[in-house]
Amino acid sequence: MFKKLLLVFVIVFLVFSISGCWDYRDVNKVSFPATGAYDLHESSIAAARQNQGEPLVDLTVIIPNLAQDVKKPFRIERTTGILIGNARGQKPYSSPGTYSAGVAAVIILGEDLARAGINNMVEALFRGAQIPKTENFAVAEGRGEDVLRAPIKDYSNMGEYLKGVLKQSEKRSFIPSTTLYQFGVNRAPGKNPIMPLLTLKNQKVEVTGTAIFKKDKMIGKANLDESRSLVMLRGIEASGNIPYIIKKDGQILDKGSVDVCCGGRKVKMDCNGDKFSYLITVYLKGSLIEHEFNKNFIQNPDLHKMIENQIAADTKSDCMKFIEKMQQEYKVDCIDINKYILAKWRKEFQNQVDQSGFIENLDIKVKVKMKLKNVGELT
Amino acid sequence: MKDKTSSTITSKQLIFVIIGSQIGAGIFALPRMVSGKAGEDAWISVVLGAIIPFLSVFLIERLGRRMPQMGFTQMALGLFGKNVGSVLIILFIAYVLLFESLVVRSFAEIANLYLLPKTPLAVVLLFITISIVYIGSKGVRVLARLNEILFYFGVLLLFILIIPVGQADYTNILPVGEAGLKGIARGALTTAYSFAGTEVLLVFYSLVNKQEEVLKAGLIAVCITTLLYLAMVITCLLVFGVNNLQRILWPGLMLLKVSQVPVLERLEFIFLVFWMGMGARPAVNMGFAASLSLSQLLKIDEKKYNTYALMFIALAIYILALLPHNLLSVFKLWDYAGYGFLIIGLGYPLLYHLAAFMRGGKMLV
Repeated sequence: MFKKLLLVFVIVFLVFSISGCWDYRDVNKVSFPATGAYDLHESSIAAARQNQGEPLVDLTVIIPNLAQDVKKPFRIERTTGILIGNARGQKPYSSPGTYSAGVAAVIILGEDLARAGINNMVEALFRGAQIPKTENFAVAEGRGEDVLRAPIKDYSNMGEYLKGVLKQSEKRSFIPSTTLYQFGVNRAPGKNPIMPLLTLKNQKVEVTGTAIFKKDKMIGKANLDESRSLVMLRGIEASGNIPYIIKKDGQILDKGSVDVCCGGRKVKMDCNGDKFSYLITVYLKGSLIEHEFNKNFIQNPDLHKMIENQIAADTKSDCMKFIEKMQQEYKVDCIDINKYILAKWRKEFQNQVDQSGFIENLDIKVKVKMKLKNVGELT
Repeated sequence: MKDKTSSTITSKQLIFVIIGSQIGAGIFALPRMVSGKAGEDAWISVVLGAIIPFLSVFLIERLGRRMPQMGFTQMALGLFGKNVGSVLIILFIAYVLLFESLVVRSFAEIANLYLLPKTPLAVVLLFITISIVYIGSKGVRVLARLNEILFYFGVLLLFILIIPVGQADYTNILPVGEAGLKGIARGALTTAYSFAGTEVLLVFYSLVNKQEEVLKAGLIAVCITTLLYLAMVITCLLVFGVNNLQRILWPGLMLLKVSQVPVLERLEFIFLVFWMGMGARPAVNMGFAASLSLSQLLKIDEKKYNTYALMFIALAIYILALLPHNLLSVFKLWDYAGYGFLIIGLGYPLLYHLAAFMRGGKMLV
């Protein structure tokens, strides 16, 4: 009898303890941020641009109001601190409820902060055990806070809109989707992160390209066309629409557009002495979406091949232009090819691949293989 | 003179007991620890590190075969006499206490960090300690069955770790062999510590009903553990790369946080809730082995008083687990526990073999 009583006592004790004596929280009293923006504080921008002083950072978050009978569906709060965790720690002084940092799906970085370097800012996100490493990152031209405060009509808040735009964006467009985890691993030697670039145009937030990073510092921007080449060269499996125009003797033979899926890349590296050369083969496949009405594939048997060749040639030309820009302007390996050198000679080149002059001196060639899978229901 | 127990276990159950004694929270930190020594060649170190537990199983099995009618305590007393034999048994128990206090502390730290951040560590540790006593008090057969169930459950859980493979980059494990022999050997030694648990066979050998199958069972157990460790280390290397691994305390758990699965938004929480049942397994198995050894050393009725011996062992584990200042102190102590494994897992059987050889089958007690 004593043993049974002891057992009942132990079970009751365990059940009550595990079910939350200490970790109990009323959901209605917790603030769950939908999205956050990290910016340099106004007073720190000038100093940060000159690499002077310890900048202050602003943390702006959109918090949906969970309580019933509220006037607004969400509120926007801003706090300031020496780092993000510290800014988060200021919330109890101005905001009701317990702040739960682990649920924000998207983080927007202000351009000034991104250019100053974000390693210290994202440390709190990596360190926080409650925080998933799948939060999406993007850079805003200007302040991230402005993006969050932009009016939004068709969504409950800007966080929901950004989540829809940025989550797995590469499945719908040639815009890379960058998570916290991906940012983390791409800071390793020989690698560099990239992130979608957001612009506030006429009170509407749009993706306008890609932010190029050298480790944790933003160093350049690529527009949408360049982003497409960047994504393909980087081997990201992305999909999007590509237009084409086939000309012969100055005359337009056919024009249209194809939904293209980039099926990755194959990289071949050769080393002649201390000179490295690369051949990147980009694999594309797609479906014809539209073209000139009077052109018939049965009557023009070569047209199928001509479309494939045109898209391959256009893509190759765009990729070569991007590589030129990368080597002359960005001067960082944003297409993720240095890892192949490290895969062969890690010890020898680990400290060299990220030095200036390395990527500039690589001989990079591109080959594009395009396969038009189908032409739709019409002949 | 065979150990008197309420029951015996099958050789198949022994496989699960050995695996359960080896795999604890350490599997989540192993990729960081071994890649810190062997870099991209960490996976080679894992394979080589398995040599020591294989050797340990082999030596213990041969020892049991040499004296099939005797248990661990009887062997110690018979080969070394009452005084030295008792010291050897007490050292074994002390090792178990140190080792298992680190196991439960690590497990409690994980529960504290991810699931119960505001629950005091002492309370989390108490849950685990109560489990050790409760499961151990049910006898060796229940303990073995529990190990078997948890093993199958654990394998299912480990399939979740396949999800992040989509993020893998094969260049992260290249070039092969760059760490050199020295680096790989250092990594192998670190891995060998993670195989601690095979020494449980010292006590469990005499509890197996078909002792001729013990060697096979032991080797299968070490093979399975090696495969699981290998899968974990390779996945972490591919997903994070060596540089990033050095910054992550529990890479095995971070793996679950890098991919998003529809519906199952937070994989790590689901995984951990189920892992809660498994994290204390090594402490349960080894705690049972220690309590049995203590009962036999004190020559008390095992059936009647083993639960009290278990309570004493669990209490000692609980107090020791509370002592380290923080998790970093625990990691430092892991190294000492690793040396302990080499002494108990390899040194003890070697010493016993030597003594048995010198005695020529003649026992002191």
